[in-house]
Amino acid sequence: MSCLGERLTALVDGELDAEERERAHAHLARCADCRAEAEVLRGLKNRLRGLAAPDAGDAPSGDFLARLNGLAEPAPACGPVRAPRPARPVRPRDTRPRDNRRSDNRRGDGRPGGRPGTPADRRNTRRTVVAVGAATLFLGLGGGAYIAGGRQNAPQVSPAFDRFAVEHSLLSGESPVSDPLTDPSTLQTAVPLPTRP
Amino acid sequence: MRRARLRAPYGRGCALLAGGLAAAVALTGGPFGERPESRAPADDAGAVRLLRAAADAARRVPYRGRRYLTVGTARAMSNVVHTPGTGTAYGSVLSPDGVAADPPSGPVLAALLRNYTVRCGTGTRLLGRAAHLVEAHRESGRVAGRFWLDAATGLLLRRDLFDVHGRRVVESGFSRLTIGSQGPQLAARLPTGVWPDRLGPAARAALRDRGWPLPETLPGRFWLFDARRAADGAVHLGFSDGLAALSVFVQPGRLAPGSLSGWHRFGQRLFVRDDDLLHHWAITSGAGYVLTVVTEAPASTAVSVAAGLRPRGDAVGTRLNRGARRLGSWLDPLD
Repeated sequence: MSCLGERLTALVDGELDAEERERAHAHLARCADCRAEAEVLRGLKNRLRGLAAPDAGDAPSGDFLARLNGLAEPAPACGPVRAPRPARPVRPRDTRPRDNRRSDNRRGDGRPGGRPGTPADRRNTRRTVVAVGAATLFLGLGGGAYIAGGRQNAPQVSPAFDRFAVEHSLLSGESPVSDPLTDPSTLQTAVPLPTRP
Repeated sequence: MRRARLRAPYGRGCALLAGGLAAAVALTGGPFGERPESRAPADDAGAVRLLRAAADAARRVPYRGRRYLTVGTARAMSNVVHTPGTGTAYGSVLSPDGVAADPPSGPVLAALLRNYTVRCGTGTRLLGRAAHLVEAHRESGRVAGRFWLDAATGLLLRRDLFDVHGRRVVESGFSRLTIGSQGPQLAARLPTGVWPDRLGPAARAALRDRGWPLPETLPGRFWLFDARRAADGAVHLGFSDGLAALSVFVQPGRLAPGSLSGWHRFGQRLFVRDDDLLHHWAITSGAGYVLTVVTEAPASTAVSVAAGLRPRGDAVGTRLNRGARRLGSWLDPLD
């Protein structure tokens, strides 16, 4: 670490004002370590700057960038702009001693453990994708069948109450069954009889 | 118009009340000081014999006269002529012999003996004729029905039904009776479309497998004694507890809007009829079926039976199966 700290980086980036720049240069004239670090930083910056700019053919086309932007969730056309959420506090790193039982990165059965990018890990990922896909297909078809089978294609029914009354009277055997309006031998009281004592 | 009233429970709901009454009677010795052990514990063989003779006489004896039916405070009357081998003409409608639940015979008599205790009462006279009285008693000891049987011919002259409180709810019988075949015959015939073929146990089981709600028994100790299927597909189930008859009509379909004029809602998917003085009606629907219940028994019986019969919807498997078939038919270009 140099004596100038972050001011050395700012000096290399040309971000110091004249007075601070003069003060920094005066320090570099006296301090060999800071001078050497400043040289390293300048060299690194030059190397970064010297990286060739991407060819026009390698750059993504405007249409591709537009489609990428289209994949993102569109912002509401109007309405209040939500304030950015405050940054969540970073959880402190777990400083507890790690379990070294699997430090050799092997599973309990002795097979190589699934490090990211290993063939075993890719197989597990494929299996998970297949299982999730099958479950989604099963649930989708089942839900669709359940919804589609929700209502029977039943015709509308108007019960024939007059015929039902006749059939019930014949079955019970205790009711006069003919229509008193068309059959003079049958009489039904239109007014309820007085209640018996 | 008369709104259907829920009278004292006669069927399902009466079980607890009857049990309570039985306990009260057992504890107090009965309302008239009758000791419980003084009651006959089993059916009176003479009473059973008289009831069987009445069923036989209803087919064998020719008669004519006038019958009446009183339910609550409403009454209907009709001229009747019975011709052995042909049937009974109620006005212009012919009722074939051997199908009615009155007088009780076959499975109806079996239900009567299963649900009630029958005993002979004292001899009496009715319509100027000597008659035997047979009573059907509940477990509580209270009378549930009375039969007046002609001593000379065995014909059933009159029948009364009582609710658990001892109130008469139905009375039917002859107001005028002449034994013999003299006199003009009524030009009676069976109404068109009525009395289709019987539906046997195997046919009922096949329909039941296809989802039809066709019970063999009903709450209130009602037992199936007749089943038929009309040309329009409606199934008529006849139930009896030995005293009261109850019909259930089952039709596949949904209830058409506007088909219940003169009815009022009584509960979830349950309606009762207001404009029939002699019968109590209840109708319910669900799971693709419409069920109509009609009986002379109190309205509470019709309502409780209809509520118990209401189809509760499909099982998940049935619904999935139907949905899969529909999805397949939608995807099939040849369908």
